[in-house]
Amino acid sequence: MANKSILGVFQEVDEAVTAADSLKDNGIEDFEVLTSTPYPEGAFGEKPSHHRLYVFPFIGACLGFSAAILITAGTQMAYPLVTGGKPLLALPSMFIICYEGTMLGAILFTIIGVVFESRLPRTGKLAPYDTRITEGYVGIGVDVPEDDVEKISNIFKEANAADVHLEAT
Amino acid sequence: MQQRVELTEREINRDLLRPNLTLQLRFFVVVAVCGAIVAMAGGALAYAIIKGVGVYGVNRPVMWGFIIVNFVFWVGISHAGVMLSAILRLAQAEWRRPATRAAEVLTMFALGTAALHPVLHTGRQWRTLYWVFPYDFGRGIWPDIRSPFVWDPSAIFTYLSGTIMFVFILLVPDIAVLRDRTTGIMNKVYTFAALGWRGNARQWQFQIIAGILLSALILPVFVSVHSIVSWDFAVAIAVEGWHATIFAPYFVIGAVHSGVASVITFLAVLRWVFRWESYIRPEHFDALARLMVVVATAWFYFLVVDFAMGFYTGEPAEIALRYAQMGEWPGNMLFIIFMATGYVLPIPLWLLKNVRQSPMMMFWSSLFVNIGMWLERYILIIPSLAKKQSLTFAWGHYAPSPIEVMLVIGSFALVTLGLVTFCKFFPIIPIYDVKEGRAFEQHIRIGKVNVPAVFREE
Amino acid sequence: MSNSHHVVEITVKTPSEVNNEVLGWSATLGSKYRLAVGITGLLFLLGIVGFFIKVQDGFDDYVPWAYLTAAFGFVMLFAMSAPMLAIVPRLARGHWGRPISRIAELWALVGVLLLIVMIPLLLALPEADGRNTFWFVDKYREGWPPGAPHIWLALLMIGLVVNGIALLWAAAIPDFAAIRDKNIVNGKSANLYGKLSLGWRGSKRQWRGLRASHGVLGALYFATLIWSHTMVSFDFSQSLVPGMRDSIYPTWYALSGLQSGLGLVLVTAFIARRFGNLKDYIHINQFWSAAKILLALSLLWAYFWWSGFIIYWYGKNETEMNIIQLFWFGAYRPLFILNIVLSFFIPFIFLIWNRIRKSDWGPSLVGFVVIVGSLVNCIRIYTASFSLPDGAKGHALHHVPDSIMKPDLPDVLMVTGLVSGAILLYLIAIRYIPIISTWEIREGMLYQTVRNLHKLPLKVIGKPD
Repeated sequence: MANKSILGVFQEVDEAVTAADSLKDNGIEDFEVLTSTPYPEGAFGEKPSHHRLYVFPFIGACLGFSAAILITAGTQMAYPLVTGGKPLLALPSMFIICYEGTMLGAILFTIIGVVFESRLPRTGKLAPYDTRITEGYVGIGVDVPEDDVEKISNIFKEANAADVHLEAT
Repeated sequence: MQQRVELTEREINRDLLRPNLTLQLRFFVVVAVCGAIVAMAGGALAYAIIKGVGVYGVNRPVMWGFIIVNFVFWVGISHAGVMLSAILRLAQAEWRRPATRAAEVLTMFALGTAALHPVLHTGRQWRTLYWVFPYDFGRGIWPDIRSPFVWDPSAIFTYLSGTIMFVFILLVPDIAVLRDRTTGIMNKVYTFAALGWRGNARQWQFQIIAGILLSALILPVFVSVHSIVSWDFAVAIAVEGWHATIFAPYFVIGAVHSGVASVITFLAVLRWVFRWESYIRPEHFDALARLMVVVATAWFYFLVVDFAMGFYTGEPAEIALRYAQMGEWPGNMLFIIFMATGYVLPIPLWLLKNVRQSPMMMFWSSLFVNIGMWLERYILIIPSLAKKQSLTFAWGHYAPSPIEVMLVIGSFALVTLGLVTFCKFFPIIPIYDVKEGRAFEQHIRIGKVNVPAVFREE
Repeated sequence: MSNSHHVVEITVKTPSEVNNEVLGWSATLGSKYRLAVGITGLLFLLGIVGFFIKVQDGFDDYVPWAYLTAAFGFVMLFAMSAPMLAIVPRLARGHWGRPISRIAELWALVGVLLLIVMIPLLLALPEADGRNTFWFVDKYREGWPPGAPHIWLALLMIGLVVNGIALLWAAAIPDFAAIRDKNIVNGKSANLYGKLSLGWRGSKRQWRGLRASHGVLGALYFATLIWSHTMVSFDFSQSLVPGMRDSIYPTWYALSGLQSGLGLVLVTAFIARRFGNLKDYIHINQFWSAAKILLALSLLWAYFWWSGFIIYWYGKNETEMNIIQLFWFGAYRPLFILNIVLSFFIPFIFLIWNRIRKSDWGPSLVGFVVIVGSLVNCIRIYTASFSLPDGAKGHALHHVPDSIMKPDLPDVLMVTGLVSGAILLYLIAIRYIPIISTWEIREGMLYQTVRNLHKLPLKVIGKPD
């Protein structure tokens, strides 16, 4: 049986919290809360999510460091030319460029990690969504089998939803 | 002290998106004026390219003039962004909220403009690429990584790219707000840039982590950038006054001093132009001024130690330089203006609550700081080169040429143009940050007093 | 929003509970406390014996006093910098500093011991003429200011110590009044507490005065502390090295003081929490907040060192190369490596992890490591500076000793004695001065509570003007 996505849109945060409580009372733990404000995780009683974001900067740092070593050591060895009485592989100088390379790699991969872990970018239609969310309304979205659509809609309406959107997943 | 204003999310959107969603004549006027000045600076640059660097006022031994002074100045200004945004974000300072993006965007344009200066200075700009980028595989000629002139572009490139990414990733939720409120071609652009943002808990979670993680990562880069700029000078052994171990932190704290001052100036202008009295409030200026007192005093300590070290060794050449910087015309006049505007006038003023809470006074006093800080760079660079050294034969002299003056003026117009354009197309006050602050607002009742309070995650 | 689980810790007690528990705390100190007093007392006495043996060498030559100078610098770094952890959160209105502010500022008392130890060191310190010196002796104004560096350095230190004790006293006045009023002590002691509390009644005017005194004394203390560290590092180290002109050196030295002072407060707070049963007052939040500052200071430590090193390495003239050899890569290389590992690498590797920062043991362990790093640092820089032969004046360093200056038995006794003396003084002080500032805890309880943000319990923090 095909699943449907239902989005209840609530004008007040407390109404959304009531709806989330009712969903949990009905055994639905996996729901999505859409807000225009970054509430702390768990403010709506939603399940905590896990991620591996912290791995990304480490990978980026390693790659950036390796690239910087290649540039600093590789280029100097490719054309050995002593300048300023400094050694060919002048570690303090190399350190500075390697430091920048490492940080650049870490920052770049953090951005990639954030985008990846946020499951962005999303192309196409933003289903289910309501543009009023960016002006303070709260959306509670849930994927359910077609049979449960009415029950969920009723839960949202009982919690005083301003609107309930329904779309096929 | 906290002057909170009750606002709905709809009102916040309406106020903060007004510059983005309405067309205002003053925008076109500012763009036209700044564009014209930038075009004139472009003309001056073209003249310099055609005629060569002889049209600049630089000469032997004063090889570095206005353009390098201005380069250091703009790199300094660029230090505002991360200092405010990252440190205050990590410290969970509530008053950061309206100031962070303005600071970050100022960094972006100031740093981009700064990066142009060494290229302008060299005369044959296309050749500078050989010095910096390892791309000449054909001839096997590579940059000299032992030179600070290679460290410098690597640091600026890292900082600039990091800042642009930082600004963009923290802008995504606000672009989504614009997406939901626009039509036509702008809607298509914002839809593309919003990356499909919906505002679910997971996306917010990473938005917040990104802010903290990137702050932590970009802070060490921010410190390295002006340190390396200082090493452009300090690793030279022949120039008295430059070869000082304190130069790196002294430059960094000086950069923060001028950078935060420029953010205050920018915020005061934003408040006045867009009538954002409910968002950029006296309490924010108050907090920034308190921060400035600390930063300025730390900078002053470094300044004193640096100048005192000049007298420490008692070397005649060093004493002569310090005398040129502080005792001889025009150095003494510049030094007095520098000290007065950079520290002596603003700091006592900022100890007064009335001044701290007055946007107008903060505007002027922060502007003073940057006049002083521009002069500081001039005093550090030009007299040191003009003075007779062990490797030169005579005292030199420097007077800026009209071309250099035009390029300096053009740099200010370019940064202004960038800021104005950004404000036209993106929210300069982070909307979601303001909304978060509003959601976290609380009060604690103590006797008859209602003390402002906030939720704090620990 | 974060992945960490939400454990909200705040002190919830009635004011009288706070008074009873904290003011009666010193009476609960048991056998471990007495053992600590006994051991430190014995070591301190041995240190005095070591000093009297050393006095046989006289004060004409400063070289034999290198290790006592190192110990003096070390104790001054950690003990006199510790009160900054009381001052900074107060000025920044950070509630997290309240439970550990007294722990921090009590260390200012060690200044009295330092002033005594400074007397022989000033006697041994050579005149400034002929050397590079921060003072203007024999330079541009002959002999100005009179008595420099000795008298002026002493005055600076006296100013610092007096300021520190004044700060401690000002902050403890309400607590002295509470002891006076609670009848915990009687007779002469009660009289003494009555005098120390200056007739405190807790009027609005008195509270306003108390706050103002914190602001003024705190700012003055910070300024005096930085200049004291700066001048001590100049007079006892940099000036003794011909041609050394390192402007970041005093700042880096002062910074290492702030770092080890913070480490000391963390260690003391850990002991008080774990072994002094003060878990209701000193929470993980105190360690977490302080650990972030410790991480920042450790990064700055490495950055300041690097800022100095890169200039010397790049400059490469004879004096610069010799100074690199003297302090870092010559005979003192093992100590330098140990120093950088303890003062930078270990704090960095441990404290970047939030899980470690958010514990009591993690930051305290790193704090201890940092203190040891500071000891190594002081031994390295002071003995290296003292190791150059007396009369090595002028503006260039031509020769660097081949080996490090090894301590003899009196040196060892004096170093351990001085450190033990500092700890002993602290142990005696906590017997008579409450280790927790009761009024700050009571005030903090007014401004902190726990509320639900919808489904999530969070701390709410009030921010008064």
